[in-house]
Amino acid sequence: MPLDRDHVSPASRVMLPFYAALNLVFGVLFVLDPQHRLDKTPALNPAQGFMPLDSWGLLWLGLATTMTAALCTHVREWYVRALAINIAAWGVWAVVLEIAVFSQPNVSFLVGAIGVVVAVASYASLRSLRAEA
Amino acid sequence: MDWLNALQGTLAVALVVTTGLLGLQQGTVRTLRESNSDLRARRDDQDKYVAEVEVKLSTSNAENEVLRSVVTGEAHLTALADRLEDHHTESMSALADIRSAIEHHGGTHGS
Repeated sequence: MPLDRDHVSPASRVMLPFYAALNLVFGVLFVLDPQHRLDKTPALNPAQGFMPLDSWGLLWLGLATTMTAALCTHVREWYVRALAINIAAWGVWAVVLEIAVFSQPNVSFLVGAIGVVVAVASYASLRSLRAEA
Repeated sequence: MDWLNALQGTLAVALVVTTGLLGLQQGTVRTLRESNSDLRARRDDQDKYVAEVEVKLSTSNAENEVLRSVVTGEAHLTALADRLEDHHTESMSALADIRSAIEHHGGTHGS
């Protein structure tokens, strides 16, 4: 079934472009890192230990590109695969940020919350997309 | 040092991508197993239904056989009644002819 407005749930109509936009914003910010603010953030030290911030940015840009291409070409399977990788990426992101809570001073306990939220929402969207297929 | 960072980044991205795709495959396999179980249950239900229908069909065939024999017997009776009616008509006609002949013969003999 094609990936267009007539063949996705109302929730997916909102969330699918949102994931692409979120990944695009994160990707651009992490690749460009204006004023090197991210590089100096203590909460991101474990994330940098896992892989450089540029790589995180490229991962998100790749996901944003794949999702946008899937939305434009209406290929559901591409978006499903991108969502699966999105879940893994944001899940790992949440874990490495939570590691910073214990390894870095003055880091909020909720620092990994956004990663968890995006991963769980992506999982819900993935199930929705597969159920509609 | 830069290429080491690039290598580390590439490997980490590959790890994340592989993890995501493996999770997707696992979900696909689980979905296929569930649908397989559903289809098996549905097939079992269909088999039960077919067995019930076969029993009903054999019962209906037996009843049909009985009814057919009844209908055939009724047809024979009707045919028999028709023939009886024909014979009765012919007999009455012959009787009328005989009476007429006797009367005619008696009248001639008397004069």
